[in-house]
Amino acid sequence: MTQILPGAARQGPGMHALILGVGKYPHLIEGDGDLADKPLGLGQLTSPPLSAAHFIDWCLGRLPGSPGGYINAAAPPASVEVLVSAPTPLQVNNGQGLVTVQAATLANVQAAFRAWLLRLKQDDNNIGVFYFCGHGIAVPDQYLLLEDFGADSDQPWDRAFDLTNTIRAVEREVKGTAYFFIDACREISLEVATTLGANPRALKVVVLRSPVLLRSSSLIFATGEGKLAFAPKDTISRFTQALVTALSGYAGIKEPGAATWGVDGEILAPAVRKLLEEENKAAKVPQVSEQAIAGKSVPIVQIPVPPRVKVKVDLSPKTMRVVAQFYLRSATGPAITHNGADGAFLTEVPLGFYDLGVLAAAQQFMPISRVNELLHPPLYSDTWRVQS
Amino acid sequence: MSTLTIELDLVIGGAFAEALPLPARVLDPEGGLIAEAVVSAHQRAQVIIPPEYRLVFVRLALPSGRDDVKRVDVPPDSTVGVLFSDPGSKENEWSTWAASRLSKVEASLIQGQGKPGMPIDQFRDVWLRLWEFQSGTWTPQPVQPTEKYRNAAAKQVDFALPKNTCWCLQLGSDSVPWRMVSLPGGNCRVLLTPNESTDPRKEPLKVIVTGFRADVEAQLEFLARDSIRATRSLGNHALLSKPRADGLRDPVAWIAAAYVALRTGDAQSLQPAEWFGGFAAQLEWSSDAAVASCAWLVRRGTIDVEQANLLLLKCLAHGLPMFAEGLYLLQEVASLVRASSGSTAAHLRYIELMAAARAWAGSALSFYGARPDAPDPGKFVGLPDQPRRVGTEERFAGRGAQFFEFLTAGDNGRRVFEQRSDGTKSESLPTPSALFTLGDI
Repeated sequence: MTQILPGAARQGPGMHALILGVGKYPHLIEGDGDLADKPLGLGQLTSPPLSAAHFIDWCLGRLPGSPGGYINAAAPPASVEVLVSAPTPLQVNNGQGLVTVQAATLANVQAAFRAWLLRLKQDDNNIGVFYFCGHGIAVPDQYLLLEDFGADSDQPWDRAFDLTNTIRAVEREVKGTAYFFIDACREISLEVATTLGANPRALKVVVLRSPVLLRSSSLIFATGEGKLAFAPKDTISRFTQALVTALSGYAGIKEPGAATWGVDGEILAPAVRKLLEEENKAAKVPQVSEQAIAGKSVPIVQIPVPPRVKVKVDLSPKTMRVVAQFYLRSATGPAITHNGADGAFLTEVPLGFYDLGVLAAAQQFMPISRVNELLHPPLYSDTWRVQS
Repeated sequence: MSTLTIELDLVIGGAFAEALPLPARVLDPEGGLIAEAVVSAHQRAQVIIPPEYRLVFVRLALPSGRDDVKRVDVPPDSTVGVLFSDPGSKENEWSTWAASRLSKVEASLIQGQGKPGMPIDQFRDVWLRLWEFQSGTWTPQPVQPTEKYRNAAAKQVDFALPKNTCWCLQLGSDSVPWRMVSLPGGNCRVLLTPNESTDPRKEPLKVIVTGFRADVEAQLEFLARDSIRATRSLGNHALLSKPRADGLRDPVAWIAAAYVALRTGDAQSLQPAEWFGGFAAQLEWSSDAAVASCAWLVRRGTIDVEQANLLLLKCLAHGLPMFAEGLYLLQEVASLVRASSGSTAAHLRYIELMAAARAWAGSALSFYGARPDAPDPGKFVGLPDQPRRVGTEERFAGRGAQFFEFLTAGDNGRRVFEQRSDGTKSESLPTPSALFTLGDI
């Protein structure tokens, strides 16, 4: 177990994170161990250590440009437990020095999960955050593969775990709130499903006679059922990038009488999907996230300022940009203008209602206007077709 | 203080007894929420606006995820009205009910506004097949619509199906993967329109179903999209504390209330505690009621694995849930039973396959497969008695789908599953005596 944020003895509710990143799989293709009997066509991954590190940085509030990473006065950061498998062990500066992160083997993950669960149970208003990046497969329950997957040819599935029933166990152990972010493939393999013994265990046995206690549960998958999740080589995955962006001030709702902008699962999931959709425009293979939201609304973060909206407006045909004058006027504030000769209109504004549009310098095209448009985080992206 | 009166003039057609209720949110110019309300064509909403707000925006949320926004200036101590209006066109009134479940472009097209990028006539060869769950068996029935409607963008059929049993509509063609969509018994309506979504997972055709329950269906549509706030604002959990006998008068409303309460977590606090059990017993024919009851008992921790397993069998003995939410709950219980018992029984495999084969039809249950008893994550295309696998994915290629027989074992009416293979062989599929295609509409 590697605790980055040690969770000193503190009273009251807090946020407890368990972050797992698995890029090194010695028993899968091109691994440095004995190849598993059935490697399922899976190999080494470069993105999970980077993606997990990015999520750690968000938890610790160290992302440049972010309003501060994890912010929630109702549940301040209490513990961050990390396990990452990479060719070179990950090192994290926790403010007191460099900490070398242990590998995400089944034994380590079980111990870390047990400790995480114990901490979560200590206060009914705790918020648990479970993040995983690595190989996954859906059968259709979601299985996640750990570093030592395939180490034992007789029991290959022994070193994976059943996420679906792990969540069911958490629901029966914890009274507070749990967020699960799963950055893994969800390809449905009938071959695996029909293989005897292809039923990995949950990290904790579900006691069916125990009632469901969890007040709020949000599960966000990087991709839809039966689909793949992607990451460009040696970079942070698309999903984690979108997730951390959405959590860093690009999502939120202000309930009546509230002083802060809260981000719960219902708000976060569409923000992540929208950011992925924007990425899809340039991606070879599209990726659409999916979610399961249940219970009460309990925000994972509560930010003191209105969430931001990335605005991206362009014209079709692009040749009309040179004569275009874009404008964006808030319902209560001043206008922003942009000369199309400088390119597409890219800006950022706080969530709110705006009038926006485009005019031609000498009426080369009919003006376009959008009035009372709610610019909703994380993104307002549109291409306007203009006619001369 | 000022008062805002919100009105909705939305035509959904005379066949609907209830108006479509929609959640409206009153926001300040920075997007902060001031108040929420529910509005319908039959019921206006009144919202008190605190004196510090002189300008507000009213955002009407539609089940499709799109919205309509109005800007409203609010003078001090005044009453201001705001009207959301979408009367649609008279000649396309038959399709107006579906507009709230479609994107803006699709909604305009089905109401005859604009030229569809892909006319519905390009899907003339899409065939329809009806399946009825009778005595533990899925049996094909002739497709005999009571009404047919069409325009350039959509086709629609009305059915009058016998009540208190399960129905599935199957559709497919050489280019449209075979898929099942649960239909409610009684009067129901199905609209088919080309899918204009940019979602890479989309199917070529959108299928939208109504049992003419605009209120209940709107809530379940929001639930299917994880819009919990909107679901809650339309919700009426008070329904669940009324005498159980009332459930028989309006079973669909009861089922919806149960699903909503289970998802929002409010089921934990329902009184009386035995409500779900009694509910399922009274709606003996309903798979949805059995599923909701089973999930509730499992979540309460009041039953063991064996009992949960028996309840699962009971759920399937009623056929299939009408609503997609039912499949999530079936999967939850099946997965728990499998993990707790290590069982690989046929009915657990059936539920797993159905979950893996899940397709999207809003709140209606939908999945891919050759027959209702043969859900299959691999897709088929072709004529109704000549299925062909889509693509060449190795993991699906050459693997005949498994299908399941629901056999009566005589154990208190309990049915037993039997798993067979090669369900995709053409002899296991009925040869249609008369092929019903979209070209017939």
